[in-house]
Amino acid sequence: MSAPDDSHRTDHVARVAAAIWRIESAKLIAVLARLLRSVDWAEELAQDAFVEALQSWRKNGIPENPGGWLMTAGRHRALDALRHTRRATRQHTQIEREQQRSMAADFDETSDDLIGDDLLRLMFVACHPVLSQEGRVALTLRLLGGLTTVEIGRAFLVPETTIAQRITRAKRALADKEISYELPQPADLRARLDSVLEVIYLVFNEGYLASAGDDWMRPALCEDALRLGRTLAQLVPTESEVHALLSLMEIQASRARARTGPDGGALLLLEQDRSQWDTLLVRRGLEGLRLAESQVRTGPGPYLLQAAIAGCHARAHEARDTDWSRIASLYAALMHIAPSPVIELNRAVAAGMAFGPAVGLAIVDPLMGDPDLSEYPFLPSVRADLLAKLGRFAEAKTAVERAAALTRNARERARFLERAAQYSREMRAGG
Amino acid sequence: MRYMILIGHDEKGGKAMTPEQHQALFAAYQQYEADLKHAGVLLGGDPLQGSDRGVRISSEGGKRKLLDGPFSESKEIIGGYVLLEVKSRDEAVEWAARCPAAQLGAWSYVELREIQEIPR
Repeated sequence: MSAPDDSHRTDHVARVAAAIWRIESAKLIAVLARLLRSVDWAEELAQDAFVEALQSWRKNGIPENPGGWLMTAGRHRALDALRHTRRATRQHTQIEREQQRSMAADFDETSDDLIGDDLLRLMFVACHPVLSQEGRVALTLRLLGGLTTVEIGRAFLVPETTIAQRITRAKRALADKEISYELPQPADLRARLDSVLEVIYLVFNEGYLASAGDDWMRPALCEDALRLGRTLAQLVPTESEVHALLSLMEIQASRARARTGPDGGALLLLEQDRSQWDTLLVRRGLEGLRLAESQVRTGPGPYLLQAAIAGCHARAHEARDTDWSRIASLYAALMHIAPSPVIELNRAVAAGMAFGPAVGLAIVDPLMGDPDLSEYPFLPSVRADLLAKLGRFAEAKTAVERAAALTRNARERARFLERAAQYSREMRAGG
Repeated sequence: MRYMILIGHDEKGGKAMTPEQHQALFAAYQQYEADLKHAGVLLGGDPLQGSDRGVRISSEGGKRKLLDGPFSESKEIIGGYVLLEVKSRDEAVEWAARCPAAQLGAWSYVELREIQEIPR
C-alpha cells in the first residue's frame, strides 16, 4: 500500500480496522466467549486484540487476511489470559485443542459450523431471559451488532453512560446467575428463540416507529435489526418464526421511502405512493414469507401471521387491490394466539374494508370500554371513519375530536382536526 | 448502503483451470457465501452463464443491433454479481476483497459499485 504521508496512512488503517471490527467482532467475541466462558472477558480481550491490530497494522501495513489476523491475535490473548489465571487446566487444554483444530481446518466446513454455533450461543446469551429488556437490547447491539456504546446511545437517544451501565449490569447478571454457554436444550429452544426474536423486533421498531425524538424513523437501527435477523436466519434456517420475522421487517422496511409525505409528515399505508416501495425488499420479504409458511409445524406463529398481513399489502399494487378479507381472517388468527385490543382494532379496520363499515363498527364498539385503549387515539379515529362511512357524521366528528385530544403528535392532531372539519361540512351538506 | 460486487474475468482464464482448481474455487465461493450470510449483509447474488449464451444489444442510426456472444474480442466479461447491504464503503471494500474472484490472479477481478438511490 502506498500512502503520501503518515497521517493519511494512519487514517486509512483506522477506517479499514473499523470495517474489519464491524465484520469480525461478533465472531471473535463469540469464539472467545466459548473458550473463556465469559462474555465480559471475551469482549475485553477482543478489544485488546483490536488495539494490538491497529498498532501492528499502522507499523507493518494491513495484512492479507486481516480477519484471520484479528482472530489469531484474540485466541493468543485468550490463551495467555487462561495461562495466567488459576482457572482450571481443563479450559486451557480446550483452547489448545481449539487452536490446533482451527489451524488444521482453516477453510473447511466444520470450522464454519463451529463459528455458526458460537454466534448462535452468543445471541442466546445476549438475549437471555434473566436480563432486562434494555439490557438484552444493549448487549445484543454491542456484542453482535458491533456497535459502540456511543452509537447505541445515539440510536436510542439516551446518554452513553446509561448504555454503559445497562451493559455492565447485564454482564454482571450473566456472571452472577452463572448462565451456561451451552446452546439451549431442545425443550427450551422455543422460549429462548422467542426472546431473541423479541429483541431484534424491538430494535427494528425503535428504528421504524422512532418512539423518541423528532424523526419518524431512525433507519440505522432498522438496518441493524435487519442484519441481526439475516444472521439469525442463517444460523437457524429451519424455524418458521425466524424467517417470518425477517420477512416482516423486510416488507415493513420496503415502505420506508414512501412513509414521509411532501410536508414531512408520516403517510399511512393506504396513502403511500406504492411505486416508492423498495422492490428488492418486497421480493425478499415475500420469498421469506413463503419459506416461513412452508416450515410451519403445529400452526402459524405470531410473526408469520404479521408477515402474512404485511405480505397482503405488499402484493397489492394499488391500495384498492388489497385483499381485506384475508387480512381480517389473519387478524382473527392472530387474536386467537396473541390476543390484544390493538390487534382487535386492526381486525375491525380490515373487516370494515372487507365486509362494510357496519361489520367493522360492531367489532370496534365493544373495545370502547377497554382500559388499555382508553388513551389510544386510533380507537376513536377508526370509529370515526366507520361512522362517517355510515353517514353518521355528527358522531364521527365527536369521535375524531376525541382522537385529536388524545394524540401527542402535532401533525397527527392537525390531521384529525381536518377530518373533524370535513365531517362538519358533510353534516351541513346532508342537511 | 447498498453495493454491487461485479465479478469480471477473462473467459480464457477460467477455461485454463484444472478440475481441482474449479473445485477449490467452488468451495471458496461456498465459504464466502456462508461468511456473508453469517454477517447478515447478503441481499442477493448469482453467477452468470458464459458469454457464449449472451447477447449485446445497441442501436445505430435508430436501428436495433444485436451481437451474439461469445464476446471474444472483449478481454473482460462480467461473470456474476453479489449484492450487499453494509454500513460503510470500507466495509464493502473489505467484503469485495474477500471475494474469491479478487484472489485468482490477473485474469480475474471484482469491481465494487455503490447502488444509486433514485431520489423522488
